[in-house]
Amino acid sequence: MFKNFSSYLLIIALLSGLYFPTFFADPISNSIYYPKPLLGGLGFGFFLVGIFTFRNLLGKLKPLILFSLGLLFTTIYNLNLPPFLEAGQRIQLEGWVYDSKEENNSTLLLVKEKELGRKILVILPRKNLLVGKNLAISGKTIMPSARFFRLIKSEGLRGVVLADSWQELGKSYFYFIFWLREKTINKIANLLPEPEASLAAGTLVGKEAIFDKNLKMQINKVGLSHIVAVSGYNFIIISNIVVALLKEFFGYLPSLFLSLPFILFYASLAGFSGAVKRAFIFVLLIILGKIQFRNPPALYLLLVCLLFAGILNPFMFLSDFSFLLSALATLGILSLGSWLKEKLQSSLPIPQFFVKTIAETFSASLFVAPITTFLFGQKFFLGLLINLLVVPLVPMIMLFTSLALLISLLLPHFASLGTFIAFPLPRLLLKIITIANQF
Amino acid sequence: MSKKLFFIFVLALWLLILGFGLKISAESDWQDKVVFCDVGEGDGILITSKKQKSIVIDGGPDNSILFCLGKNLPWSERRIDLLVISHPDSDHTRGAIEVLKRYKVLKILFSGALSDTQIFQELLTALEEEVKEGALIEEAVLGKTFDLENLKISVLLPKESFWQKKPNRDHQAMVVVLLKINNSLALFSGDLEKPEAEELVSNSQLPKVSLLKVPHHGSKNSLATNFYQALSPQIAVISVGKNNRYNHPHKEVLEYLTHQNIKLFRTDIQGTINCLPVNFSWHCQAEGDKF
Repeated sequence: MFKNFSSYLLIIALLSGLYFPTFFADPISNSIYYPKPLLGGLGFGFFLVGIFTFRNLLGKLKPLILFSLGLLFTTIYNLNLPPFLEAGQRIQLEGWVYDSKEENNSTLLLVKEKELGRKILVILPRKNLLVGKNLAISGKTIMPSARFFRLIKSEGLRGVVLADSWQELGKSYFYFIFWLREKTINKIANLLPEPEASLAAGTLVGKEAIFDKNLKMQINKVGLSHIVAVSGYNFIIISNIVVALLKEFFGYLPSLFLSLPFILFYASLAGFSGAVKRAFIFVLLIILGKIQFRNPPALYLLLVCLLFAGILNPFMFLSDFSFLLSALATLGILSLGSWLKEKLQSSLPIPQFFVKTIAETFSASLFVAPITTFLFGQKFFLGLLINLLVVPLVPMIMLFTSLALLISLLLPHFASLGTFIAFPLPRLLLKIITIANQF
Repeated sequence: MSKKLFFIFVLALWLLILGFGLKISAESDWQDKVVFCDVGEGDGILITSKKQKSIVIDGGPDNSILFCLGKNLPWSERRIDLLVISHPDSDHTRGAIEVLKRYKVLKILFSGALSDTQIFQELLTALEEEVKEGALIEEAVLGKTFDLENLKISVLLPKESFWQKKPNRDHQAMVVVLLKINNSLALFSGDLEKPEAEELVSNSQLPKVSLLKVPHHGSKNSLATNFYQALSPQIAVISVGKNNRYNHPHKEVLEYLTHQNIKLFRTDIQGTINCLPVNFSWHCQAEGDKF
């Protein structure tokens, strides 16, 4: 069924590209731009085809040609992004809110513009606007202050608008997912005290943690910042759970295929931020590769993933430390990790799960050590030891927080039962962090 | 598959037992104390009692108070018996809204005075939600008292009702409450300013209190010497943010308190301050210092 999967992917990419209008005008600068979605769709399509027809990096020319074409299209896509909006213009835009942050007396909204697809930072007086809604906004473009520079680069924003009026135009297609994310986070906050609630929400849906500075520093110092963010590890956990539940009914490969909508749903629930998108693309490529009855060369996949992310937003390499950390950790796991796993398996009489954890944690920690030591003053061996203790807790925290949520939703009168189940592991994690910081 | 399910079931059961065990041990965490949470530039105070009752007075400017509650309330406690909102300024109310969202608040005490601010609208929305969940809203006016076992709260200000009225001055409808815990008294003065403080002294028989939350983060406008003389506190706590843009607390207030030999605690320097009632007085210490 999946033998000609790459051809299907190409057709889907082309059709999705052609679906979008062929050109459009920017109402602000009156310039005509190339159809980005079409180019983007084509570029991504060629990337996928390149990957799935790839067998030997030096052996065959065809995938390289396709890959180069993908690179070319995506570069054109990137070059044709509308310029950053100049300060002082009056602007009216329609778009949907894909992220929001409350800051003192303002609300910062990340809005994806409906017409041009630009991502714009909109600043409003503090307002409880649920993410996922469509808005009509009128305001003035401003020169962004220095505190927004990192956000502008990591999100690829095209302007900052100070809104003076706005109107809700209803819900976007994604509203339900954002509503569910908000509900999940609120429910966890109702079940658990702080900081356990933030820790559980961060582990489950990658909610930006609201820890106080001291705790944030402690978490970074022992190399556990990855615990409170959604990474490829979370997607693999979701995929493994779905496969474990379904494989007896449908078999391994169809179950793997059926896990795709679940991880897509989970990615949406996790907010689809830059880091989540990268992790999602990488895991998607691995799963699609497995479905092809092939073990895709993982290092090559990582390279493609990095290239793709980097081409879409080159600033990531320079400004987004989490991007660098996740790339280095993955590189460590794929290169040193696999070798170490084999060596340990043959020499140590311990269960496979522990061998895997030790090998992967050691190699990921080793590869990120230069950056974490420089940035957070992290002690390598301490970080390694703590990660070995904590990494196995992550899937359990995810599982039991979900279980607690389920109990509180289905049996609201027994919600405190959920608290008892969900509380001990995040508390244990915090204890480990506190003790580790004493060394 | 069945092995995995069995493992998950056993683990869930183990966690449940562990949770109950932790809850039983957490119940012994209840103690008679007042915690001045380090919430930055604002007020956020938690009062707890051995009888498992809790009162929160204001919530500070952000969600920092949640960490203070997480640390000082038993972990399984998701209920607050009384929330006092001194006035709807954002440095007192923003965190209180977070408390309303996260905890089941049984009673809310506030003046009901109207305000045009955005934060006031947000507070009303949060209050409406809490009322739907069964909370009772009580108007804060002189004479109102709350008896929570060994915790007794009496409202000293405002003297007249401001319910659904707009005050003439910003802090005119300030809610000032007196706490009696066992035999120790403490006064929580919110952002009380000189005119209201003097009015309070002239119109009522103020009791001597041993612990005072210094009004308005120690601002110059809050310094009413006869107010301090009437109360004659032994300990004063200033809830204030580090390097705040208002330069709180004011030099004159600090000099006055030093001159009066009042032992001073500051959240900007010492962080969260814990006060335990001891023989008609209080023993206060910075968090982390052992009593």
